[in-house]
Amino acid sequence: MTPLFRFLFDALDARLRLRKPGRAVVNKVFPKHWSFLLGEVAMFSFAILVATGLFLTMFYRPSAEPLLYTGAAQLYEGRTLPAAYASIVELSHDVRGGLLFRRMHRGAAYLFMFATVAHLLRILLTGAFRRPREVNTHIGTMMLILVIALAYTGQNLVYDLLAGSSLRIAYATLASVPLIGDWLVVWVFGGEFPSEVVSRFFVLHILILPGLLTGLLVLHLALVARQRHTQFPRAGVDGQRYVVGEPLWPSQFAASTTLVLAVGGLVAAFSVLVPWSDVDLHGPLRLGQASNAGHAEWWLFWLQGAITIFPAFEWEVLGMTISHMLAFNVVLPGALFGLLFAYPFLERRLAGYDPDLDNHVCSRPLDVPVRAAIVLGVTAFVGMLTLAMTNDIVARGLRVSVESVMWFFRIAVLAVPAVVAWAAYARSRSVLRRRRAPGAAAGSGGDAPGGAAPANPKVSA
Amino acid sequence: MSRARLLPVAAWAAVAVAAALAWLAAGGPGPAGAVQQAPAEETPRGDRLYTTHCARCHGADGRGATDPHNRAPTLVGMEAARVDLVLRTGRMPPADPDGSGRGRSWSDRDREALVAHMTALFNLEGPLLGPEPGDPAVGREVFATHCAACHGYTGDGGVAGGGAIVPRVVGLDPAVIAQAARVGPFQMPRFAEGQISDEELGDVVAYLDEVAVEQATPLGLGELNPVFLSAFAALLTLAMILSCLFLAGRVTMFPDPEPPPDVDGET
Amino acid sequence: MTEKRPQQRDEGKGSRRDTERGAPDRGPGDGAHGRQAPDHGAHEGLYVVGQHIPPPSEVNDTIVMGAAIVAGLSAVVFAVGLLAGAGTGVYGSALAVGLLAMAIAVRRYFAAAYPDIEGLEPRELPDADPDDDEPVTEVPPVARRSLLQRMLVGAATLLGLGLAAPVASLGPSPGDALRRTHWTSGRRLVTTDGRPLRPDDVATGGISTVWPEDAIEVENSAVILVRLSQSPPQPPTNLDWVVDDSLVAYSKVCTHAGCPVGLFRERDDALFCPCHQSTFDAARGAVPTFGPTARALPQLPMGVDDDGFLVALGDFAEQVGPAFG
Repeated sequence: MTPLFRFLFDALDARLRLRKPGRAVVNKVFPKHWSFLLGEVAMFSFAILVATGLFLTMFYRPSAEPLLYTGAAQLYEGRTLPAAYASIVELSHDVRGGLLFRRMHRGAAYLFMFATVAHLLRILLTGAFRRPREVNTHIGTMMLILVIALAYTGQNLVYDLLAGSSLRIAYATLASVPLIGDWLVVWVFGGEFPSEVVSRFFVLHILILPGLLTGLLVLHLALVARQRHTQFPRAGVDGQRYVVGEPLWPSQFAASTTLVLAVGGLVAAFSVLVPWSDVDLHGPLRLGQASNAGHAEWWLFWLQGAITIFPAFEWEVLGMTISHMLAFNVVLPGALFGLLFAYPFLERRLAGYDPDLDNHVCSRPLDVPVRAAIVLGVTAFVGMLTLAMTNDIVARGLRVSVESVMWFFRIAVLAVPAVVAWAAYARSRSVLRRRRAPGAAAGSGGDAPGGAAPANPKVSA
Repeated sequence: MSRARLLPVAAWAAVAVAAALAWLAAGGPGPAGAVQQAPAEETPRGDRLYTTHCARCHGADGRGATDPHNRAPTLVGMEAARVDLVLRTGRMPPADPDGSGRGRSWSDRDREALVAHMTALFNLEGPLLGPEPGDPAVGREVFATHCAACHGYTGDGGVAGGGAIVPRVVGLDPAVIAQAARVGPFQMPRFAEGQISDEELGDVVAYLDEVAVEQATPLGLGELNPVFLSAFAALLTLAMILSCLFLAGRVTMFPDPEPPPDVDGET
Repeated sequence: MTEKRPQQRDEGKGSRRDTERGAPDRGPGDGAHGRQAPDHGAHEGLYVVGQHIPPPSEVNDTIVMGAAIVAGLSAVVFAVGLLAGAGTGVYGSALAVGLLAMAIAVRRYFAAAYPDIEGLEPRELPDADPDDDEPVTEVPPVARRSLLQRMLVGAATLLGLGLAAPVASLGPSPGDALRRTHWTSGRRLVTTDGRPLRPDDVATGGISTVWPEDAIEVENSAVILVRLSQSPPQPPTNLDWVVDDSLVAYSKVCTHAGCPVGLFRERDDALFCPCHQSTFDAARGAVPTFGPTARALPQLPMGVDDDGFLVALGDFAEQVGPAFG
């Protein structure tokens, strides 16, 4: 410790008595595994988003009112643009560092999304959601929903041509809800399309959603601190009773600091090389205009794929309209997130766990057959829907009609996940059978028949 | 040589020089303005080209055929701009017997000769277009209003269903852009002068030229389709995961339980 | 790239570790992996089960120094480049290099300056007793007043629900405003620039986006005007609303999700929506022929007024755009 830091610490300690709680925090032990860092990557991406976002907020104008642009961009010099889009063009061309921070903001958002999903998959596949961590898992699922909402509102703040289609689809989605569709639409949009949506999305994006996300994040970390981290099985360690890993100081601190610098550095490097958020050619949102090959952002491909490839239908039932949009843009994602919320309890029932037993030891992805089948099957389903949104690129590349590509995906989207789920289930069962066979390595994992939660055998009392 | 014989040579040389200067002053080679009436001139060159490459399907009289094996349309009274367009883009003569594919790339001289010859023979109508580039900002707005729905906001094209592929229009010849808009070849709709004026066509050309030189990143990437951007996002995530692997010090993804590297087996 | 743990390891044998002091003392006991559990009460200190002291390495020190210098220089280049107006690539690369170099420096520094430690911590929550059944509060109520309790809860619920009423201020009462357009009888069709159109302004096989006069760029009133070139329109197209036996107008708002239907395949008389690839047959009442849309595009009643301009003869006969629930 440097003398200055020691002086400050002693002064605070004399007033706040920090040593004892400080020791408890600083000597906390963190199990070491690369997949445990994914949540941290997500968290640091969020930090970069907040930092770059603070800069961008200073220049962004959350309004659709027409504004005359006078700046360096050749394509818009002297033209009248919606104020939001004009401020984006200004940021990209007239503000020093504006383009870099816009790209870093977008790049960090993509990394945030990827890391959150990877973190979720790790939790699901290693069984870290089991009792007593169901609450924390639900908090995490709610955070995923907030991340998607943040990304969606942020993407549409740019108010470009793609945002026009995106917002119109959101409008149609809200309108498709039976009975209350009209009201939902006017409450969110403030009237006919598009009305007030930019200023409302702005408030959501910079205040309400990040506030909720930060609150949930603090709760999420507090619960991890209280319940302690899960860990992989290790010989000689009773993982149910002890956590083994590296202490917060110096090891985990060093790893986290390195990670946040690496995240920042990689996002910056990619932002120099990849034109992630360049919208010069998109043009501002103009009603009645749309563009070909105007995809949504990649993390929305699965929803866009769902509302593209499934055949048309529209039913009138009891004065309500059940439309294609309702089924695939509201009910389908609702069902998937419902499954995610229910999954800890579903697996407990399907795999026959003891409801009173805590689980602190991670299992491997193929340890529980139902888990492998459901998680990998649903992931394959979402993955196929995502791929389905590349149908126009596939059609163009292979020189076939887009209709035939759509038919291929209509079948693949149902067939591939079924095959993946079955294959995962079969492989998982064969792996378990081989492990339980006599002569297999003893003291490994300790999986009880039926795939119950493995309680690590204690090598010593 | 005697002075007497030099004089006529010198006189003709002076005339030639004067003609060349006058020709240059008039704007040099090629169309000087946006619209130029298609020149009509029967030439041996044009005749040879037509007989070699076109007559087999369109007939020596240019009336084409209507039998199922030969769907070549009649050329009589066709728009000159359409003929010029399909020659510029190389779609005629087709590579495949069913009329698709690009069979030949024409030199400017051959194409001009052929078009002039056909204009004279078959009374091709209308002007040829070769707009001067105008204001790219106006061009962007015109493009967004009329063209982006099919050709995409970056001019990269896309699909239009029914097997139709919308081509990329960035960096195309100005004459091709202008004539395609007026003629509406194949599945493309046509835009009359009342909808997009000739001057606005020049603005669109300027816009597409601007897109062609659009500020690119050091990797040479301009504005990308979200599908390709997502590939780069996946690459970034992969790089991050590799960093995590490096930081956490283990290579295996899910370690089998192993005794710690201790001296004795008491653990 | 794994951190190789060399064979020689220092065993901090079951010692409690004060992080502020230096090397651990070799206390009594054996390799305590689970064998000798730490005291539950004293969990502040670190229970070390293994540590590795890194040997001094000049190479490592050089790396740290070099990386730190690179990081510092890059930071300067970033700041100067940004302020001097250099290109994004210049100061962006400087930022990236600076952060990555700093990451290397930090990691290498900690790897050399501190031992590599493996610790152990009991999972039992220090303040938790699973058999604790005592009530949390220390002050029970004097008497149970359940009726009054229920009335309080009821009032609080009504209060909470009442506070949700301002949500209705977020937008106007929808009524049927969302289902009607601005097209009325006699309204001229105008382009986005405001020019009214005559039938001859649209070439055969051409299209145009039009709006009601005085309601340009009102989203649900967008109309696409098409002059068919392949075949004359047929039922279910309303032929009374067709001009010149080829000019027909449909709502441009796709009945699937509302995107503008801007693509027209001239040879197929097909309108194509770019968002989800819905296809409509423009010669047959814009009936969907492929894609996720179930309803045809409503046809605009269209005619020609006395001055020769295209006008609407009334509003659409069906609801425009995607279905409301």
